[in-house]
Amino acid sequence: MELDAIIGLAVLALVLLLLSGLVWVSRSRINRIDEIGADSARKLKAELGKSREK
Amino acid sequence: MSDKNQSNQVHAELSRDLNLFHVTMMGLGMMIGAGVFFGIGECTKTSGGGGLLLTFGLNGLIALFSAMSFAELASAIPRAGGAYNFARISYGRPAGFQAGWFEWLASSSAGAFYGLMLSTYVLKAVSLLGWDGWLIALGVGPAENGDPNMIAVRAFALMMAGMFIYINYRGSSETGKIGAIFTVLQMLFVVGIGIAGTIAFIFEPERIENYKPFFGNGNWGTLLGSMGIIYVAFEGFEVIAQAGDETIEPRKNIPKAILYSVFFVTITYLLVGFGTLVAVKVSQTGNVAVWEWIAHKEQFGFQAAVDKLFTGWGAWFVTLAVIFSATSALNATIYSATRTSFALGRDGMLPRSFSKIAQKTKTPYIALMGTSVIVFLLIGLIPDLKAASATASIMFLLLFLLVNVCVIRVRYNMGDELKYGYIMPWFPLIPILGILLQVAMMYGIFGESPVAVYIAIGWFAVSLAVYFGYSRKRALTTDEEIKVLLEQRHENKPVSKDQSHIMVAVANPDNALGLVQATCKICQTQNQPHIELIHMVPVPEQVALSDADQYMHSGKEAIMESMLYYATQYPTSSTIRYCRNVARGIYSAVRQKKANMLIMGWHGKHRGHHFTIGATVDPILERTPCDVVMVKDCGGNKKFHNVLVPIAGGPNSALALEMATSLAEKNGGSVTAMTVETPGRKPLDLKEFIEENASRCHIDQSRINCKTATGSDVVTTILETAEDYDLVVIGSTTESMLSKIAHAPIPETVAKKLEKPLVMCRAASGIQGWLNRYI
Repeated sequence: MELDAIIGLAVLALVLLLLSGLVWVSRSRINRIDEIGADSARKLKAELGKSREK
Repeated sequence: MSDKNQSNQVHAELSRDLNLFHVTMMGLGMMIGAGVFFGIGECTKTSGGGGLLLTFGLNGLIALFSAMSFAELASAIPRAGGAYNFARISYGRPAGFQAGWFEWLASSSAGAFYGLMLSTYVLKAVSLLGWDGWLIALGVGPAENGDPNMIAVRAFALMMAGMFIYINYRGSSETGKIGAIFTVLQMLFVVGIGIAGTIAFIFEPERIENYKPFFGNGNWGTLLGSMGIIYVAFEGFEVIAQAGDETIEPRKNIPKAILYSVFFVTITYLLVGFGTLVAVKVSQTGNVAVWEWIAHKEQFGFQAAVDKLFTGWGAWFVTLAVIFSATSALNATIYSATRTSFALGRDGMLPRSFSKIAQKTKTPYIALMGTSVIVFLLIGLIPDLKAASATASIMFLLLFLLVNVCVIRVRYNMGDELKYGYIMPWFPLIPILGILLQVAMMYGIFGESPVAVYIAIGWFAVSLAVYFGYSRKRALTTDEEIKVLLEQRHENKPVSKDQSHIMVAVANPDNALGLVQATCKICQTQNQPHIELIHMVPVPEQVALSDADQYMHSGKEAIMESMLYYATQYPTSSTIRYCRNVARGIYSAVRQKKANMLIMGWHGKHRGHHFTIGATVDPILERTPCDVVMVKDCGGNKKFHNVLVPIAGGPNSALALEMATSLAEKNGGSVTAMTVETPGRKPLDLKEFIEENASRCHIDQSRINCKTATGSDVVTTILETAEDYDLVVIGSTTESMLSKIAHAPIPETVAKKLEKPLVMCRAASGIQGWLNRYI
C-alpha cells in the first residue's frame, strides 16, 4: 500500500473518531444542562472561571 | 375573582411545532443533494478517490467546529436571526451588518448554484431523450460529449429562478413537516447508492484498486482546493439556528439538531463517496482508471458511476434526484436570502423599503426583488458551476468564521447573563481551530477558482461602502440587542388538572360573538372551566416569526371583544400565536397546553373537492388531540328550542349528544336523537346507545327524544328532517383523510348542504386520540 494511502486512512480514522467523540460529548453536555435546569448559569460560571484561570 | 384578573391579559407567542426530528431534517435537507452530486466528480478530478474521502471527512470536522459555535450561541439566544443576531449581539451593528451582508450573498449564490445545477441536469436529460432538436436549431445545442451549452443552461436557470422567486412572492413554500419527509427520501436515495456500491465491493474486493493512486493527479496540497469547492454541501446547519422561534424546547433541540445534522451528513457523504468509486469496474471504462473516468465526467461523474452500477436506469434516477433536490434547495435559499435582507431593512441597515410587506401576499417584496437581482446576475455572469459552488462556499466560510469569532466574545463578555442550553467542550480551542482551518480553505479556493475570491472581495468592499455611506447613521439603536438579552417570558397561571381547559380559536371579530355564546353554554356542563382564547396569525416563511407584529390586524380586536364577554363568567386567558400554518399552529397549541376541548368557528363555505370541509378545518378535525367542537352560524341571540342529533354510533355521536343538551334551551328546549333506516341497513338502537354513554358524557337523558326516520338516502333524510329543527349537532366522521377521498362522508356532506345553524363534534378517544396527543 502506498504511503499516502496509509497516512490518508489514518487521518480519516482520526477525523471520524474526533467527529463522533465531539458529538457524543456535546450530546451529554446538552442532556446534563437540561437535567440541572436552572442551575445551568451556576455551572457555566464555574466553567468560565476555570477557562479564565487558565 | 383574583384568579380571573390575573389571567385576563392578551399576550403574543410563537407557534412552536417543530421537534428535534423536524429541525434536524431541516438542516439535512439543505445539505444533502445537489452539492454532493456535483462535488463527487469535481473533487475526484482535483484530489483522486482517496482525496474525495478525506475531503468529505475533513470538511465534516471543520463544519462541526462551526456547528458547535452555532449550537452554543443558538442555545443561549434561541431567536430567529441566526448569524446576524449573534454578530449584532457580540460586536454591535457593524458586525451584525457584515454577517447579514455575507449571509445575503451566501444564500443568493447558493441559489444561483442550485439553479445552474438544476438547469444543467434538465438539459442533459433533454439531450438523452433526443428532444434537443429545437436547441440545436437555436444554435445552443449540446457539445460533442453531450454536455449542455452554457447559454442554454443560463437561460433555463434564469427561468427556473424566476419561477421560484414568483412562488416566494406568493408566499407559499415547503413546510417543515413535508420538507422532513422529502429529506428522508433524499437521504435514503444517497445512502442506498452508498450501500449498493459497498455491496458490490464486498463481492468483488478487487474494486479497491479504483483508489490507486490515493490522490489521483493531486496531492495533500490540492486537498484544500477540493475541500473549499464542495464546502457548499456542508452548509445548511445554520438554518437550524434560525428556527429557534418555531422549535419546541429550542435551548435543547436546536444545538442537538445542529450537531446531529453535521454528523449524519458527513457519514452519509463518506458512504456515498466510497460507494461511488467502487461502483464502477475498470472493464466498464475501457481500461481507463476508474477515478480518472469519473474525474473526466466532472459534474456528471456521480451520475455516470451510478449508471454503471444500475445499468439503464441509474442515470435517470440521479437526474430525478438532482432535479428534485436542486429545486427544493433553490426555493429554500431564495427565501433564506430574502429573510436576511428583510432583517437588514427592518433594522435600518438597508433602506427601510426592504422591510415592506406586500398587502396581498404578505411577503417582503422589495427584499425579494433585491435577492432576485443578485441571483439573476450570478446566474448570468458566473463562468461555470464550479465558480458558482466556490462562491457560495467562500461566502459561507466567511459567515461561519465570523460566528466562530462571536462565540468567543459572547462567552467571555456575556456568559454570566445568558442561560445556555449547550456549552462546547475544549473552549476556545474549537472556534480558534475553526477560524484557522476556514482561512486555509479560502486559500485553497483561490487556487481552484480565483473568480470566487474576487467576488467575495468585491462584495466585502461594497459592504464597507454601504455601511459607512448609509447604514452607520441610519441603523436603529441597540434596543434590539438589549431586547434579545432581556426577552420576557409571558406565562399564564397554569390550568390545574381538575379544571376543564377549553381553548377557543378566534379567527376574526365577525365570528367571535357566535363562538362566545356557544362556548358559554358548553361551559355550563364542564367541570371548573378555564377558557383560553387563541388567535393564529399566519406568517410567510420569508419573515421570522419574531418579526411578525405587522401581521396582527383584526386578531387582537376579536380577542379583546371575546374577553370582555367571558371574563365576567369564567377564568379567561388569551394568546396570539404567530405560525406558518393555521391548522398546524392550532393543534400544536392544543398539544402543548394540554387543552381538553377546542371550540372553533366555521364560515360554512366550502371550495373545491367534495370530500373536504376546508383546508384548515379538515386537518384540525383529524389531528387535534382533544375534543373538537366546530360551530357554524350560532351567533346573535339565537335560542335553540329543538335540536336534532343524527346518530350513527361511536364516540363522536356521544359527544354530539352531550353538546346538544348543553346548547338546547334550559327551559323547554328538547333534543331529538335520530337514526336513519334505509333499505338493507338496520337502524341503531338509540336507547341503548344513550344509556351506555349517559354517565360518561354528562348527558341529561330526560331531555332526549328518540326518533327513527326512514328514507332511501341518509343525507337527504337528515336534511329533510332538519327542516323542523333550530340546530343540528352531528358527530364528524371517524374516517381518515384518505378514506374521505374514496367516498364523501355523511356528516361532512350534511354540514356542507345544511343551511341552518350547525355544530360538528369530534371526540378525542381511542388509539388515534392518544397518537395525536403524543406524536
